Amino acid sequence: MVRMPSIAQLEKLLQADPQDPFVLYGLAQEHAKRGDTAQAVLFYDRCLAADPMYLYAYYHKARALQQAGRTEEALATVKAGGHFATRAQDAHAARELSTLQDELA
Amino acid sequence: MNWGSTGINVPPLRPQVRPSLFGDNVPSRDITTAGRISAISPDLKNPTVTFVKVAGQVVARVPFVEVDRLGLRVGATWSSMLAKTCEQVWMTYESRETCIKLMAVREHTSVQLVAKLKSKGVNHEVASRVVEDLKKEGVVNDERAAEAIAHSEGKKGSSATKVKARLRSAGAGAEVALKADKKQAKEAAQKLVEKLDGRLAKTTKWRRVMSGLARRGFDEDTARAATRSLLGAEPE
Repeated sequence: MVRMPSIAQLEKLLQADPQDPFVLYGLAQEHAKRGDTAQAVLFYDRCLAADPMYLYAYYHKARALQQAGRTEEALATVKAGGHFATRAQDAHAARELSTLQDELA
Repeated sequence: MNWGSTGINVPPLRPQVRPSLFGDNVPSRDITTAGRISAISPDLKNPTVTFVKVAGQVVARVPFVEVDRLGLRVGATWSSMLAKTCEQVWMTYESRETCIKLMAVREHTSVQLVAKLKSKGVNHEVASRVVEDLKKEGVVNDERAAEAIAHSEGKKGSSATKVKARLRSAGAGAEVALKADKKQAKEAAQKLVEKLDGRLAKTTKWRRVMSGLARRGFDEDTARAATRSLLGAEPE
């Protein structure tokens, strides 16, 4: 597989801190952008393991799963994200996740 | 029915005559019509333009400032050579006006302007000459145009790859494009730094800005230079 320059750069940055949720999220997004759902989900999961409050990751992981036809998993991700959004009192994220949940249900 | 038998005198049918734009008696609109210039009058809608007339018919339009240089005066011989010269002068004038109007809306590169003029039927030689003159006068500036393109794309959130493609299609040279790319990287880095939590360690800030720039398609060297300009030297 030909690696895109941005992915190679992000992987290099990840070496400095393999637990940086920002870089992990960036890598997940880049893989999702290229249609590589499996890799994208892998990095979203690593990002959420490093920081469960990284709310964008729930939303975009669910979107990636939805596009891959994995609706059940997408729904579970959205629900988990909604739980953390409520805990973080992030009304905007909670609303976005709730809208996506309605769309998936 | 035989109209003749009624004794009514029916006039013969005449062909319908439609008045032309310049009156009924204009034999031709050929601008090379030989003769003498009968009038040189200003265009009332645009005083910088002058009409040249032969036998009351407009045969050419020229910019007012060119009337003397072209030797246009009432009574002078209107030849096909003079007609051709006037046509070229007019084309140059119109091309220049078009460029100025386009530049008033937004910055354009010289390649974009030449392409625009050519699409309006101006030949390549005239288009290039007009744009070159405007470049010398400082009206057209490729570097400024490239920066404007990069800035506008940056505001839209376009990736560096997209900006580079836009600059290439606008005909910005490699050096100009590189300069615009560096400026755009710095603007993007600035936005990323503003969003960062000030309490983060410098190493983390560096990594986050660098990854943000990588995701926007900036190459490593450009991203590093932009980050360094805002956060100082790279931490060990």
